[in-house]
Amino acid sequence: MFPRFGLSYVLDRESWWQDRIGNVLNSFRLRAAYGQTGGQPPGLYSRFANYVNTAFSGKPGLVSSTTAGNPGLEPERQREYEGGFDVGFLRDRAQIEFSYYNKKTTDLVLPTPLPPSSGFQRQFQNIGSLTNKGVEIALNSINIYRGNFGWRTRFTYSANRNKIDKLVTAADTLVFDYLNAVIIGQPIGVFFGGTYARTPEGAIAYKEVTVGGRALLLPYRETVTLPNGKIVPARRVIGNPNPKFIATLGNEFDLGDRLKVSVLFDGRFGNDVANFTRRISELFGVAKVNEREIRGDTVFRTFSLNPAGRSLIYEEYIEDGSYVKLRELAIQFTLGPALVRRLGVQNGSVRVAGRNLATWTKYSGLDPETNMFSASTVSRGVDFATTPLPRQFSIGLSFDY
Amino acid sequence: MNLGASWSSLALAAVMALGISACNLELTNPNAPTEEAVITDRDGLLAVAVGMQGQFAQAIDDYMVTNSLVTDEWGTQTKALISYQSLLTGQNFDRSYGVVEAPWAASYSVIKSANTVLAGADQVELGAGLRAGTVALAKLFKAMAYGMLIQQYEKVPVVMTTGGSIPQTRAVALDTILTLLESARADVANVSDADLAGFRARVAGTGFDLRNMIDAMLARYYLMAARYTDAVTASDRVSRTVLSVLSYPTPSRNPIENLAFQLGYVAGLRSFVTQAEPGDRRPAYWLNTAIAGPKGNPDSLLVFLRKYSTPDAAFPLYLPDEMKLIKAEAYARTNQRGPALVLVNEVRTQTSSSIDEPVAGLPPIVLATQAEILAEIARQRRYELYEQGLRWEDTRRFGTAVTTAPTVTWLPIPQQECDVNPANPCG
Repeated sequence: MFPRFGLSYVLDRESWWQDRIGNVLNSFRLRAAYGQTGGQPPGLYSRFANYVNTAFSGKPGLVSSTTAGNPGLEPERQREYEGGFDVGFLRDRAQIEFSYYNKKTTDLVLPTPLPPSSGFQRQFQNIGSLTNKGVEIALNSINIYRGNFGWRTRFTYSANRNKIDKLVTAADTLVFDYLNAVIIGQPIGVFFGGTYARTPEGAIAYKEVTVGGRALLLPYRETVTLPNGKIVPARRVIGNPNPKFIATLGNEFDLGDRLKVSVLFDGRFGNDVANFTRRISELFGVAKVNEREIRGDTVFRTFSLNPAGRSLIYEEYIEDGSYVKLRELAIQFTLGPALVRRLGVQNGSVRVAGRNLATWTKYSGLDPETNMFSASTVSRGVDFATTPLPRQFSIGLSFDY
Repeated sequence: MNLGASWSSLALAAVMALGISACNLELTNPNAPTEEAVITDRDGLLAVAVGMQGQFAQAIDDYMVTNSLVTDEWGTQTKALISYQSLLTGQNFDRSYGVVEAPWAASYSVIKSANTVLAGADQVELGAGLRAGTVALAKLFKAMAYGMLIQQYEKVPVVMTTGGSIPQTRAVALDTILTLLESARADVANVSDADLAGFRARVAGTGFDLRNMIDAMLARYYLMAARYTDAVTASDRVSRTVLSVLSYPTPSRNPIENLAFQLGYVAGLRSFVTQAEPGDRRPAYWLNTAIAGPKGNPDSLLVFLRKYSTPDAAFPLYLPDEMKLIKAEAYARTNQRGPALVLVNEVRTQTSSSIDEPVAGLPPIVLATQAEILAEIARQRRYELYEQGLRWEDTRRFGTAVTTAPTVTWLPIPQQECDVNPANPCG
C-alpha cells in the first residue's frame, strides 16, 4: 500500500490578500505533498537464473545467463516530500513556479557486479539507499503582447543532488561497466579510476620512460601502499557525470497575425564526460596528441604504444561536459484566407524546424550529450565511439478540412 | 484575518493506492527456462551439457591470447588492443583489462555449467550409459576449466559460491582437478562403448573421444603435479591414432581464426620459424611460411597462422605426441634417460601420420645428460604443441631450459573479483 497526500493553499482567494497585495501578486498558491511509491525491478525475471539457447558442434544447447537470479529481491521503495509555491504577477503576465523535493529510495535495485568466480557477472540486488534532493524553478512571462506582436519567454532551472546513503553489499565500492561507481557518500555513477602521480605541491609528476631507445619524461600512474605493504595502482573518484544544474530557455514570437517563431536553448552544466573515444584514438594513432609523434615533437609511439601506461590514467580522459545547445528553432506560418480558399480547406499552416542546430561546449569530443550505456542508471557520461545526437530538419504541412 | 471563511481555498487530497498486484516479482520468462526447470528436465540437462562444451569451445581464444602473447608464440598486428600490447611487452599491465578477466570468467562459466549437470544428473532419469557419459563429461570439462585457470593464475577459488570464495593454492586446485578426472574415469570404466552410443549422439561434440580425453588430461595434470609414475600410466592408455577436437561447423567459428584473421589482432612470431631446427617440418604445419606476414609491431616479426586459418578449423584438445613427451619428461625427471631419449626420438623422427597432427621429420639425436634431455623435451614441446595453451606453463616447469622468459609471470586476479569478492583476494 502506497499512500500519497497533497495539500495546497490558495492564498489569493483570501479577502485579506486581495485587499492588500492582490494588485501586484495576483495569484499565490502554496503546495506541499508527501508520497510513497514502489518500483518494479528493471528486469522482469530478476528472481530467477535463466538459461539461454546456444549451439555447439551442431547440437542445440543451453547456457546460464551471466545474470544470477535473486529469489530475495524486493521492490524499490520511494518516499518523497515536496513543497513549493506558484505565484503570478500583474494579472499573470509573469509567473513563477518553485518546488523543492527530497526523495529517498530504499532497497535500491541495481545489477550489482558479482565475483566472476561465481560463474556470473551480476545480480539484481537491493543494495542500499539513495537520496535525491533538489529544486525546480520555472519562469513564464509574457514580455510583449500588443496587437499583432507577441513575445513570450519560458525559463526553467533545475538542480538535483543525489547521494548514496547506505550500501548493504559486502564491497563498499561497486564499479559498473568501465568506470562508473556506486560509493557510499558519493553521487551515483561517479567516475572512478586511475590518477596521475603528483608531486607534493600537487603538480603532475614525471619520470623517465624509454621510448624507442630514447629517454622521455612522461607522466605516470599514481600508486598507493596498502596496510600490508603491497603497492597497488591508485583508484580514486575522478569526476561526476551528474550535472550541477540544467536549464532551458524558450522564446516565442508572434510576428504579425500569421508568423510564429520559437527558439529553444537547452543546457547542462557542471557534468563530467569520460572521453574514451579520445583514449582509443590515441592508441590507434589518430588523436590530436599523435600529431606530435608525427611532427617529431616527441618520439614515435609516445602515445600510441602507451609506454607509460597513459591509457590506464582515466583521469586524463575526464572532461567538463557542460554545454548549451540550440535545441530547436521553429518557424510556423499560417496560410492566408485567399490561399486557404483556393486550396479548399478551412485552415492550413507550414512549419519548418531544425533540431540540435548548434552546440557551445569546451568538450573536445563530438558531443558531450551522448552515453554509450544509453539509459543505464549508473553508467552515464561515457563517450566511447558513440554516435552524436543528429541534427534534424523537418518541414510540416497541416490542413484542417 | 478570517481563516475560517476560506476553507474552500484549502484543498486536501489523500490518495491511498491499493494496487497490491502491481508488484508481482514471481514472473518467469517463457523464452528462457530457469535453473530449476533445467535441472529437473532430461532434455534441459543434456542441453546444458552441450552448452558447457560450447562455453569451453568459445573460450579457447581467451586462453590462447594470454598464453601465446606472454610467451614466444604470437605477436600483435597493428589493430591489436592495448591490453594485447601489454601482454606482449609485459609493460603497464593492469588487472582491469578484459584479457585478465576473460579466461577467469570463461572457466567459471564452464564450471558453473558442469555443476548444474552434476547436480541434475541425480534428479532426472537418463539411463546408465547416458548418465555415466554425461557425468564424466561434466567432471572432465570442470577439470579442464580449472586446468586452464591454474596455468594462468597463481591462486584460484575452488569452491564455487555466488558471493565468491577464497582463492586456493595451485596444489589444492591440482588435487581438485585430478580427483575430478579420476572420478570421471571411474564413471565410464564399467560402461561399454555401445552403452555410450546415446551419449555420443545426444551430448558429445563431433570428433570427441571421452575415454581418451580423460586419460590425456590425467597424464597432463599428473605431470604438472609431479606424479610421474601416474603420468606414464595415464599417457600409455591414450591412443596415438585418435584425436579429440572441438569442432566449429558453420555458423559457429573457430575463435582463434576469428582473432587472427577476422579481427586481425594477432599473428605468429617469425622467431618460431627461424629458431626451428633446420629441416623441422612443424613450423609450416602451424604457420603460413610461404607468404609475407601481416602488418604489425613490427611487420618483419610476424607470420600468418596456418592451422587455424579457416572459420571451421577444428581445435585439438590434446595432440597424441603430447602423451609421448609427457612420458619422456616423466622418465627424464626421474633420471631414466634411455627410455626418455627413445620417446624424444620417436617424436623427432615421425614422418607421417594417419591423423591431422604435426610431424617433425628430423633425424634422431643422441644426448647424454638429464639437463640436455629436458631441454630437448622443452624444444619438442614448443614445436609439437604450438597454440595448445601449454607454453606458459612450460616456461615455469622447464625454467631456463626454455628459450624464452614470459613477459608476465601470472595473470593478476581480475579487478571485479578483487572489488566484490568478500574474501578480499587481492588485498
